Amino acid sequence: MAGKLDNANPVIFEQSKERQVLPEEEDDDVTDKIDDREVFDMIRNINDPEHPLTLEELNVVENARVKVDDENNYVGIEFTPTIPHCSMATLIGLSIRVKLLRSLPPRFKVDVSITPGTHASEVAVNKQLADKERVAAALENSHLIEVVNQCLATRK
Amino acid sequence: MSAPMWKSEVEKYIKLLENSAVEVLSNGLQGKSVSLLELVESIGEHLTSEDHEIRGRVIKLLSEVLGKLPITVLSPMEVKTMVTYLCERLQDHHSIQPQALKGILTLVTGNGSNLPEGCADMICRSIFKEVQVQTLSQTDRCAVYNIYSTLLSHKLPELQKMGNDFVFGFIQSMDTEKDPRNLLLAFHCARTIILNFSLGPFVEEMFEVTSCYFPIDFTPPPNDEFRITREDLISGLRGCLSASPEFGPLCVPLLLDKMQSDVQSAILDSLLTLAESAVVYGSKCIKEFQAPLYRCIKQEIFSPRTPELASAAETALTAMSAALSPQPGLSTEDSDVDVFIKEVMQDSKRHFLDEDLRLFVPSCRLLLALALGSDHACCAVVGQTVPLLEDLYNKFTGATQRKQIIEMLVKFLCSCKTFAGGKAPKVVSEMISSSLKILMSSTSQSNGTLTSAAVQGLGQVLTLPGVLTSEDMKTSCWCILEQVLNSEDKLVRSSCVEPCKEMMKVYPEISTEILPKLIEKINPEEGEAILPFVAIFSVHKSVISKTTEQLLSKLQQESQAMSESALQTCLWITSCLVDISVYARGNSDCVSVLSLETVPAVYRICASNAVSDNYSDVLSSPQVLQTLSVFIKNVTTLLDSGTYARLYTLVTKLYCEDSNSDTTQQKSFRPLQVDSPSVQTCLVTLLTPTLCSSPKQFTMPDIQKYRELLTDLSLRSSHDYTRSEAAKCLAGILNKAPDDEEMAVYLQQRRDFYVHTLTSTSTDTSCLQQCVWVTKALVMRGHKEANKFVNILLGLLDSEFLGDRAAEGVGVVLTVYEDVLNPSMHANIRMLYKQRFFTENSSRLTEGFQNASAGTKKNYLIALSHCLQSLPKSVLVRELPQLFPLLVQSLLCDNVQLQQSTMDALCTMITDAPDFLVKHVDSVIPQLLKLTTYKPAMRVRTSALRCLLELVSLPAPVILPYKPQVVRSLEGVLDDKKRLVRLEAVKARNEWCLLGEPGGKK
Repeated sequence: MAGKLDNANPVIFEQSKERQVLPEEEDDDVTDKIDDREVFDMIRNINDPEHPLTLEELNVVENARVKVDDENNYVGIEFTPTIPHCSMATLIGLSIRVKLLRSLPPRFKVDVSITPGTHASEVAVNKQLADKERVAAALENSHLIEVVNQCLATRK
Repeated sequence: MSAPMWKSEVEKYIKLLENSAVEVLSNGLQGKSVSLLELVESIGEHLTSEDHEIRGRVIKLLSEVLGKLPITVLSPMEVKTMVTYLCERLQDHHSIQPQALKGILTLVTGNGSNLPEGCADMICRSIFKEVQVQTLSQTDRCAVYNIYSTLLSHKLPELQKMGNDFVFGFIQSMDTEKDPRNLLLAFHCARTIILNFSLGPFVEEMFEVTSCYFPIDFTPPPNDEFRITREDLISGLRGCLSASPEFGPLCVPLLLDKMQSDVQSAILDSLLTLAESAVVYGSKCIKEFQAPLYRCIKQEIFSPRTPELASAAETALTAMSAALSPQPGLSTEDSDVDVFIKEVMQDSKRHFLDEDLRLFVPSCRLLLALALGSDHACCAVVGQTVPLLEDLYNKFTGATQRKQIIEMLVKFLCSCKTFAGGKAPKVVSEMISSSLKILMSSTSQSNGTLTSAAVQGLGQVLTLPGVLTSEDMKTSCWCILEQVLNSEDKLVRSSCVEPCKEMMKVYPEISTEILPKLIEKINPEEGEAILPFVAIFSVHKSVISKTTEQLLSKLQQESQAMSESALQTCLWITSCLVDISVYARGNSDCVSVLSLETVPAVYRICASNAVSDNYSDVLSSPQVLQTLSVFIKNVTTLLDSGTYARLYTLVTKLYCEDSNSDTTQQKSFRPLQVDSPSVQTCLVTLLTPTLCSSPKQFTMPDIQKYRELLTDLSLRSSHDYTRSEAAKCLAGILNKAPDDEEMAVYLQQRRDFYVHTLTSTSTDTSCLQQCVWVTKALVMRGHKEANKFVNILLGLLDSEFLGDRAAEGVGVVLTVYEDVLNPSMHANIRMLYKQRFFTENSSRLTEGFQNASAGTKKNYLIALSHCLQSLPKSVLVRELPQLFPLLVQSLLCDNVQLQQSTMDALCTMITDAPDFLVKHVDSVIPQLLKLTTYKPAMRVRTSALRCLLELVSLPAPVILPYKPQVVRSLEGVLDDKKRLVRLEAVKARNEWCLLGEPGGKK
């Protein structure tokens, strides 16, 4: 990891509470749709590459910036780097992508992008994250996938 | 006469022929048939032998004989001779030293403080002179340390006379020691020496010889039989480093160096060592290194790597503050700690002005840590920060910031709690009124989280001893109560619970004022939120009687109301009674009111409802009755036998005597008669908690009557609920009934009846239910007839009609129930009865399974799984391998309960018996994958996914081959229609994806 941290003293945000289980969710006959919160729960515990904190605690991902349309098979996620020059933005985007690749049914089309106006090289990063071939190539890189996996590992 | 015999034994021993000599000699010495002198003389010729092996054998014999002797056999003179003799032997060939050391150790430990004067000196000097400890084996070095350690604890003054010689000798002995077992001993000795000897010129050497192990880096080998942990060694070493002020100038630079390392364990160890030693090293030393130490500590608190490190840094800072604080009695003007606090204050102040307050909390943590160092430091810090924080509060208007500020403010105020009786509480009490104003004004703001923080803060301030004036106390309490009464925010109300409990401790008088207001608010809208507070405030002798009375009349009123919410409101009220009974534990005034007034009133109300013409369904509903039963149970289990007997008489009169004293009633109350209406018979639920909670020494006068009535009622009542409740109550009294002639007759008659009635074609479920509960009562107490009843029960597993119920019955027998037959109700429970049940019946169940017809096979599996569920983990892990084939069978069964409990057992095995499971993954994984799509029940799908998640913990080479298969088939489950299933699927699939990947699990 880089010797000097990009942002040594980040502001820490409160974690949201565990989702309450509703009675209809325990009913075998009801179909529960995949919704914003469910997808948010998949990504909120991803570890930040720099800090022993989750993306949620750093407010990089927020429930309000997760859009899910179950019927039309679409998931759109915007994430907000902690500072405009964050060098980890691509890595964070990649981690979110990989996590969803492993967690969502394949029928979904997933868009991951930076919240407009929150990063210096927003366009470039978004382009990289949207390019399927570049993502696939990145995942072939064993060093890169190692770092991604560390972000995705559950903290014990 | 005997002389030649023992002499020949000695010869034999030396020629390696037999070991019996030790026995013979020690007996001889004890019986005085052999004298020590004779013994030494007789072995004299061998001692001068030229062969060192023979000399070694002789010393070994001597050591072993000494080990066998009780201490009193040898006179002090003889002890001294032996010691001298053995010490001389240390000069001999190196192979003889270990034997001699063992002999010395035996003498030293055996004699303890009775060791003759001069011996300790002699032993130590000989060892220092003759023995090169480093060349000895581990066990022999251990003997040397044990000798030191024993002498240090028993003969300290004598060793102290040796002065520097001893210190230097010891340092030489422990130099380069590597074995953890020996190090523990050596650290212990070193600490004693440092504390009790003047180290003189050897301060540095002593420090070097111990500090070279810092920081401890040790991982115990797997299956370590000695069970020495890293923590043992750390605390041993820390004891040495923190033992002398003279170590300060040497140790602090070392700690500083390690605090700047990258190894987290080293930083942690350094911080904690500093925390323990700062006060010992003293203010001069700490002051010298104050600046660099503070830098390191600040770093850990400002960008914490782990919470553990941050809190260690805080403890270290607290210790520094304590070390720098002026000694009590000395001048406190501008002491070292004041200078330090001033510096930290200045450093922190600038963070207080930051707009987003991002370093506000860490700065406060620094100051708080300083405050906890001493009474003086606490006064200084609190005096300076509290006004600052109050200003800050007024400067910021955002709720999140204000919440942070008041949380810290409260922490500063509460820091004086550590110094009760000192000056700090006085300082706080002088300045508290403005802080209270802030807290109180925060409660009236619209933001819920801010209000809860303020309420909790007020609650904590209430606990400060002697800080609040009674006026302040009152206003703060009412400020909290205002929220209890009027807040609409659930979060705010729930955060009032703890403050209210505190309030009852410091200001119980308030309950008389608040209760009427609370009780007024018991309505369908707010009852649920208000009643928990009623329970908290009721538990005081001045109010409990009146409040419970009001609650009961409210209960009566509500139960008569025809509204839909009546049941809900009644349940809230009864739960409130349960809460009261829980809080009343330990308060004898309240318990006696509950038992003498409230419980009888509950019976009265329910009974009069049951005989009334327009009785309330609500009051006779199982839910309300069961909650009331919990309330009664909570009270009856607290009673002494005298009070219990009064209650018992009252209840028996009500339930068993036809003519009730209340003559105004037209119908009679006969709840235990089969032909009574169900609204009466269901009240057997309330009989159980009284009847079955009798104290151990109480003998029930009417047991026979109850036994007959309940037997009949549980068999023949037309009301399902009544039957099952009566069976429970019957079991409760049978479990405690004296084992006399009557009982034997009763059991014989029951058994005959069951054998006769419960045939393989029977469908009599009430009879089976009674049989199950009677069996439970007997099995639990370990009654000699129990097995016969168990046999009847297990025989039914093969029945087409009753088989599944019998299988569930096995579950009933082995489950602990809250309402009857549990330890708190003084039930008669034999130790380990569940395990006994399992060992006695498991083979019968497995055989039964083999021979059963296809339709009833699953009953055996269900019964078995009930047995397994009730076993403790350690036993389960031992038994499971034999039953594994059956478990796999159970997974294939179409029974949700069974599949689920089987998977639970499987999960236990994965974590606790992985080695066994490794052999069977090939059959388990495909079956589990199949169950992840089991349509009928989501519970089965989630359990299967949980098992799959657990499987990841097995060794990678075993499960890696299944990765593609698992990852592929779980992809489909990600789209399951139930969210809870998808959640588990996501967890499991992600873990499997990480398996064997770089950065994932190895």
